[in-house]
Amino acid sequence: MSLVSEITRNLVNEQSTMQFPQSKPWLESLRADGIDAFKKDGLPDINIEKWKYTNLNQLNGVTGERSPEVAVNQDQITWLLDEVETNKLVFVNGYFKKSLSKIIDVGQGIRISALCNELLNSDFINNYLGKIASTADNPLFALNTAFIEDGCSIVVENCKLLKPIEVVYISTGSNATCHYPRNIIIARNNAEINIVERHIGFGGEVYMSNGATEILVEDHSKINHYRIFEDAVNGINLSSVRAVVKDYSCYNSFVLSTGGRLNRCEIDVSCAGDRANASLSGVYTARDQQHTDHTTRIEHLVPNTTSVENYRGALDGSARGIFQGSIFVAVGADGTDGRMSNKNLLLSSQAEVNAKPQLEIYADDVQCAHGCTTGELDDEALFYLRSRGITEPNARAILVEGFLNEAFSGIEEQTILDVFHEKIRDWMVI
Amino acid sequence: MLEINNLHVNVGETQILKGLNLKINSGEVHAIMGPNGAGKSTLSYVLSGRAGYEVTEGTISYQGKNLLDMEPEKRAGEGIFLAFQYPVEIPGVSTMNFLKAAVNSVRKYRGDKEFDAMEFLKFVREQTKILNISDDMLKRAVNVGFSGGEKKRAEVLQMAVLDPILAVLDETDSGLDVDALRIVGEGVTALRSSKRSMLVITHYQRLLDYIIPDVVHVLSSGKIVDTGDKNLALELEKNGYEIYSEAVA
Repeated sequence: MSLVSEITRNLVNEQSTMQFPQSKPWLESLRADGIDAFKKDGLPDINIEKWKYTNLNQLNGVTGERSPEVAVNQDQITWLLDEVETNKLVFVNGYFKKSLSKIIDVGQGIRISALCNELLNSDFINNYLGKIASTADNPLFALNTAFIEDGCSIVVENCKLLKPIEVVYISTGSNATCHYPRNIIIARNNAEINIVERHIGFGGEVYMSNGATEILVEDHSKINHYRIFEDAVNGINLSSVRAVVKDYSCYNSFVLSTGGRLNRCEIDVSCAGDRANASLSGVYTARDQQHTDHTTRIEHLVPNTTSVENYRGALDGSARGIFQGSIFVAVGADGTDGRMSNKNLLLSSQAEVNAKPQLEIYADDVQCAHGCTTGELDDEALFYLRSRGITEPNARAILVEGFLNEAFSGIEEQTILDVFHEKIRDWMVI
Repeated sequence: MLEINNLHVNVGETQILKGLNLKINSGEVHAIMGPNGAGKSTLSYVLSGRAGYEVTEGTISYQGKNLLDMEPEKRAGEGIFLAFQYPVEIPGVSTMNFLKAAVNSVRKYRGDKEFDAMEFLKFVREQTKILNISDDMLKRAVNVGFSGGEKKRAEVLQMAVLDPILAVLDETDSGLDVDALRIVGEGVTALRSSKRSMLVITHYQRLLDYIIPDVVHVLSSGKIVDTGDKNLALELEKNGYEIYSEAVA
């Protein structure tokens, strides 16, 4: 039996022995869908095109057991946006920590809570949960669905919530266990949401976080989704986002991934309404034996939708970076404008990048472009900086930082832009 | 201050400089003129320590030290500055941050206290006024989208803030219109001092209307073939370099 199927079996066994505290028929049925889909397909292996470059054999050492609830002290959490009065939600091993969180905006179209509370108290979230993503599309979504219990639930209608919501996901790395945060983010009817997510891990043990997020933006709404993945050295973070963007709405994603042994960050967006727009920006950095994988798919399903994608990576040591970006234009989706750019810097001779841009176009009147480069630092630029007195290591750091920062030129909020720049600088000086 | 003796330099298999001799005293402005391919830019790169220029023979002594032993950043710390003919674009790095990194690196090397953000801003603004450089230009990425004139003004700004002992200006007039040439020429002239030497490499005489040289050299086929005062530049402008190529041939 292959390692992947063994892990699959463990995960399924674990799931079937679980007792869910909050039982509702629709929720039971959703979880059953997840487990059925996962039983059928199991963990993806490298024969699946989307998983060609990321072998989940790297899960070796993960037990398949669920992560325990663990207490975390306030002083173990540093906030990125602490100077602002913002909503803050903390999850430890996938469980909401009320005592560490602070939800200040409620009512008037704003509904921010832990998913477990939504599941316990009403059927409201049944309108969305499992309706945006299909378990058949993505085996990791199916696995997450089998374990739906807690996560972040944000629904904003007819209200521009400009102050960012800060969400921290902590993995404590207890006994090689797994957790499955499930998030749902909805902006409807002239709504705006800004979310800053951060994924961190403690300790040196292996763990797996398999997060899944469903996002719906509709009717003149906008979501700015900022995410920073800084998992612990042996952390495995497999994250899937499924977003649907409808009429005159916009989903902007900014992802920075620097940590963990394995980080797979998959984003799947459908532009499914008139003038829908998706913008995906990302930076991945890795060194030593790290493996970082950013796989995206943007579907243009109706006429006159637009997308821009800009990912940059810097790989050092023996690290491996994967970028797979695909733009799909459906039959009849005329007037589509889709642009994708991916640039990579190799900082050592052992580092590796696999970049695979893809266009799949079934409409006639479209503008689509993709560009992809992989190279080393520019000697001329390096000499220019050194000729100004800047030492070689500093000159290299400045060039790498500048190269990566370019991916985030679309961040309009200065405090958040500063955070991203600072995180990139932190990676440089380690 | 600077003494170059019998300098031979190869780029790849090709010999570019073939026994160049040059001596510059403190505070002097020397111009080097010459036809295309004479080795003018090679000389500027050898002085600033660019890789790929192999010195096969000869010496360069700078303030009594062996310049050829030094890394580019050390040369900058020791006071050598090269204004590039083609300043390099660096996307993603703001001009302000670049200048601050450069100035603080050099200050650190020279044993001066590094500037904090406020001190640096004040310091740099004194220089930008003279060179007609806007705050907006400082926010933009280094040389990215700069016009020819902006690039050269930015080079002179770097020279001003790095306060070199020997400034090498490699065809600083190339790509400049009349107004930009005047601003750059005046900017450089303002930086003349008895403690600062300059080596102005140029193809045309026009920059020397603004930066009046003490000594003019003609570089042809890898050697200095003539030396004179500022009038030599005027003669060259009139007669061209042909007589030198014949002499060498």
